[in-house]
Amino acid sequence: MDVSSILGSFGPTQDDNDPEESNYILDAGYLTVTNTTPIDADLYNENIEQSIEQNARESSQKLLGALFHLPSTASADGRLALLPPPTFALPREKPLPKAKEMTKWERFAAAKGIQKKKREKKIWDEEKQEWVDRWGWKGKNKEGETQWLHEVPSNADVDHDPRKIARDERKARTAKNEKQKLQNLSHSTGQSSNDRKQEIERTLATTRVSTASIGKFDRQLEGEKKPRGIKRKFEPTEVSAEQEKKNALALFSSINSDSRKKRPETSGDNSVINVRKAIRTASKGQGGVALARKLDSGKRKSKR
Amino acid sequence: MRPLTEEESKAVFTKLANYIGKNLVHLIDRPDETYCFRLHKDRVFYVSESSMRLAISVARPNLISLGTCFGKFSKSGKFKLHITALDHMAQYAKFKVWIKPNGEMPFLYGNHVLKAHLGRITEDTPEHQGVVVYSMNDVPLGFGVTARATIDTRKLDPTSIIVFHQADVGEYLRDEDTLF
Amino acid sequence: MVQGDLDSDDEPEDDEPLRGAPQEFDFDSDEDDGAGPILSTARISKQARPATIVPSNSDEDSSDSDEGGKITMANIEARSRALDEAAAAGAEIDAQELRQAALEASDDDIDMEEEDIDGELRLPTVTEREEEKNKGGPDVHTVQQRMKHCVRVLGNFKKRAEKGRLRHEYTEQLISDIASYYGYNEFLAEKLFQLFSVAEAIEFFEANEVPRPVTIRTNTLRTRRRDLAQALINRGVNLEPIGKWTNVGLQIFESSVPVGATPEYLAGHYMLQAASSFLPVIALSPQPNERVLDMASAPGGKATHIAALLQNTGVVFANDANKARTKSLTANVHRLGCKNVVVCSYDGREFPKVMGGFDRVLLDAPCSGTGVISKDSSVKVNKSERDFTLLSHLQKQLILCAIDSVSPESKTGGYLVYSTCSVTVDENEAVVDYALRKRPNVTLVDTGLPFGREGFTKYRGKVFNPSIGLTRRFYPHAHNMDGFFVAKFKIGKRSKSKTISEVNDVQMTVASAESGDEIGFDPNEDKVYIEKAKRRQMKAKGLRPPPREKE
Repeated sequence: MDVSSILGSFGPTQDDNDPEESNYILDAGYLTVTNTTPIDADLYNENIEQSIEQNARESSQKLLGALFHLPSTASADGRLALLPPPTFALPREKPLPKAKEMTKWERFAAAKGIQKKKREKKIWDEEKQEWVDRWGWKGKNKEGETQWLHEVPSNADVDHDPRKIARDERKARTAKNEKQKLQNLSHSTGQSSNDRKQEIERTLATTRVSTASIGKFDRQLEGEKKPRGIKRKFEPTEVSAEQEKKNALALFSSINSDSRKKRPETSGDNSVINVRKAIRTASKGQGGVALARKLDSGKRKSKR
Repeated sequence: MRPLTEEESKAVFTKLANYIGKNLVHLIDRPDETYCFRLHKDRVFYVSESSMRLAISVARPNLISLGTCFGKFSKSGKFKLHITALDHMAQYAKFKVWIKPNGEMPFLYGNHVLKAHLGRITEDTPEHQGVVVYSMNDVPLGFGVTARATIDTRKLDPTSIIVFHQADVGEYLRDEDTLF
Repeated sequence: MVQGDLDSDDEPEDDEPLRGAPQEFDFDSDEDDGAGPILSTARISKQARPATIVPSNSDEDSSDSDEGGKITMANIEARSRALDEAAAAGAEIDAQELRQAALEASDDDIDMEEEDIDGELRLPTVTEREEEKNKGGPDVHTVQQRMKHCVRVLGNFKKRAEKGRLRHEYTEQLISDIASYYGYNEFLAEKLFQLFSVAEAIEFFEANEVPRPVTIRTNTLRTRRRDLAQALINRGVNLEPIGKWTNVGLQIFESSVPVGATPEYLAGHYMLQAASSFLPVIALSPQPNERVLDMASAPGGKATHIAALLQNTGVVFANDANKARTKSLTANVHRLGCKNVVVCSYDGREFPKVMGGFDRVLLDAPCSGTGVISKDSSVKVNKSERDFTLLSHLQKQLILCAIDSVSPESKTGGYLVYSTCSVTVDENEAVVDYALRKRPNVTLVDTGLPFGREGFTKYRGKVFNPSIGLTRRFYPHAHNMDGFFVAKFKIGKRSKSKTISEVNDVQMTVASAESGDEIGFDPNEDKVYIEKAKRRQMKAKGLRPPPREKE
C-alpha cells in the first residue's frame, strides 16, 4: 500500500509556515525527534493523557515524514531507508582516561627541554656495507660478542674473556632498563616500596607455615627472624601441678638422652684411635649396624 | 607470673643439670610437696604449689618475689643462675669443692678459687664442670666451673685458677640492687 | 687468723659502736632473776621509784623493813597494830604519795652535798628566759645544773620550791632545758616528758643518747644458736645470749671483723636485728602450716623470723608499701633461706581486698620512731604535731585493715599483733583503743612476753579500754632495748549485737505507725533500702548482720 500520496497531502506543504515547525529537531540517524516547544500548562493540566498523546503523535509524524524523504533501497520486505549519520552528541558514559604518568626520564627531558628523537631500527654497517638491525637477531649491539677476532690488553688475566665481558655489559644494560621500567610502572600505579616490603613479609610468613606440619619441623635459617605479630600462648598459671610435673620430667629425660648422644663418656679412654670416627668413615656415615650387615652379606656372597 | 614454656624449661634444666645432674629429678618430683617453676618478670621462681596458688591473688605489678628465685632470663633468651638458687644446688650437688678458711673472703669478694685456697675437691671432677663451693665446715658459699680436671690440678702451681667464679653469697651485699 | 688480715683496713670504724657495749653489760651477766635484759641502771631506777613499776612484792618488803627494822617476837604485836592502822589509813594514801615518800628517802642522802649549789640556783622568770634566748641560749653547764635543780624540786615540790613559784613554771623550764640540752624541738620534748615521772624522763632522754647494743638473731632454718656462737667466737667475736626470753638472740660486745659481712652472715646463718624487733614475733607466735601476713615488713627481720618459726611450712606474705625497700627485703628472705615467703608491694590499707583469711597478721606500723632516737637522732627535730596526727590516722586505718585481713574462723590462730617502735601514747594505746571501739569482735589478749611495762589505761584525761593493760611497753632506759610497744589481739567471730537489733525494732514500729497516713509515701517500699543500708553499715563496723528474712 502506498501512502505517500496521502501523507504528502498534509506533509511538508502544510507545515512550512507553521511556527511550531522550527521547534522540532530531527536526528534521523538515531531515529530521534525532539519537540522544544514549551508546554502549555493549562492545556496539559486539563487532560494530561490527551496532551501527551497528541504531542507524541505529532512528533512521530514528523519523524516518519522525514524518513520518507531519505534515500532508500529496495528489499524483499519492502523499501529500506538509508539513515544518515547521527548528529546528536550523546554524553560520554565513562570518565575521561587520566593522562599517563610521565616516567622519570620523561619528566627530566621535559624539564631540560630535550626533544624525543625517533631512533631508526636499522643502522649502517661500514664493514658489511649494508643496513643492519640495531638490536635483536644479528643486531649491531652484539658486535663485541660475535666478532671473530678480539683485542686483549697486555696485562689481562689468564681467564680474561672479552666476549663474556661484552655480553655481561649488554645484559646489565637490559637489566637496568627492565628495572627502571618496573620502577616507573610501580610508581605510576602508586605503590610505595614499604608496601612491597610488607607484601614480601606477608608472603614469607605464609610460606613458613605452608608445610604439612604448619612449619613446626622446618629448620630455622641462619639470621631468620621470628615471625612478628604472632601472639605467644602460655599455659594457664593455675594448671594442674601433676600435669606440669609430668611434662617437666618428660622434658628433662629428653634433655638427658640428648646430652648422652652428644657427649659419650670417654673419660679414662685414652686410646689413640677414635672408634666412632673410624666407624663413621668405614660405613660412609651409615653407622655401625649398617656396616656389620654389609660385611655379613659380603661374607655370604664370598662363601657362595 | 606464668609457667615456663618448653624452651624456657629446657634452658633452666640444662643450666641446673650442669651442677646437679640427674638429681634435678628430685627438684621436679619432690616427695614432700609439689613444687613448680614460675616465670615472673623474666625471673624464674621455684615455689611450692600452695604458695603459688595464693600468690596468684597478688597483682602482677605488686608481686616482687615468691618462693626461691633461681635466676633470670636475659633479653636474648639465655638463662643465668643466681646465687639465690644455691640452697637447692648445694643440696644435690654432684661435684663439690671445699675451700680453706683463708680462701673464703677472696672468694666472697668475687675472685676465682686458686689452688692455694683449695681444701678438697670431689674425685674425678672433669674439666668445665659446674661445681658448688663450700667452706671447710660445709657451709655453701657459691658455685662456679672447674678450670681443670681433678687429676690435672696436681701439677699446677699454687696461684693458678682451679674454679672459675660464677656466683657467691657475697652478692647478697654487692649486687642487692641488681639481683632482685 | 687470716680472716683478720683481710679486713684489717676497715676494722677500726666498724668496731667503734661495738666496743661501747661491754661496760654496760657485765653487770647483767650474774643476775638472772626476773626479766632478762634489764640493766643495772634500770635496776637503780626501779629501786628509786617502786610505785611506778609493777608493784612487785620485793619492793613492798624492802620498804617495810626500812620503816620498822627487824621483825621480832617482841615487836610483832606492835607492828601488827601499826599495820592495821596503816591499812585503815591506806584508803586515802594513794600511789602518788608513796612515790614521793620514796623519792624523798632516796634523794635526801644523794643531794646532801649539792645543797649549797642548789641554794645559788633559782628559777629564771619569763622575762629572764627570753633574754637568755635572745643571747643565744645559756651555756651547757648551767643548763645541766638547772635541770638537776628542777628535777630535785619537782621531786618534792612542797618542801623545795621557791616561794611564790608555781609547779608548771618549773616543768616548763625543765622541758625547755631538756630540749636545748639534748637537742629536741620543744614539742617533742614535752610530749616525751609527759610520758614519765620527772626523774624517769631524764633517764629516758639520757638513754636516747647511748647506742643500744648490737644484737643478732640466729636463723634456725640454717643453724643452731650454739653452733653459730661457736663459729663467730672462732672469728674473734665476743658475744653472749641476749636473755632467757629468747633462744635465738645473741648480743655482740665486740668484734674483730665486721659482723655484717662474715661468711656466716652471707650464708644466712644470722640476721642483724635489734632486740626489740624480736618481741612482736614472739608475741605473734606463729604455728607451722599457718598463713601469716607481715604488713610492713622491710627490711625483713620479722618476716624471716616468722618464716623460721613456721619452719618453712605454710606461707608468709611479706608486704611493704615502699617498692625500693622490697629489694633488701627480698635479699634477706633469700639469704636466710626462707622458701615460703611471698614478697609483695601493696599499700597496707588495700589489704583485705587483695587477700584475707590470714591466720595471723603482724602489723609493725610505720611510726614516728620516738623509740629509736638513739639510732636516728633526726627524729628529735623533724617531728611536728601534724606528723603525729597524720601517723596516728594512718595507723588507725592500717590496724582496721589488719583486723579485717585476719580470718576469725582460723583453727589455730586468728591473732593480730600491733607494734610500733614509738613510745608516744597517740600512736599506741590510742590506736589500740580505737580498734577496740571500731571492731567489737576484737579483744586484747596477753602478749606472752615475760617483761615490759603495761600500757596506759588512762593518760592525761583520756580513759582507754581497761584491757589495754594487757599491752606491753618497752623503754630504752628500763629494758636496754629500743622503745617499743606490742599489743596482741584475738579476732573473734562477728556476732550479732543486741543493740543493733533493738534499733531495728524501733525503726520498724515507726514505719508501721506511718503506714496509716494518706500521703503517697510507701514505707514498705523504703524498708528494703533502709534494711540494705543498715546491713552495709553493720558490715563496715565488723558486725555480722542478721540473716535476711524470706518474703
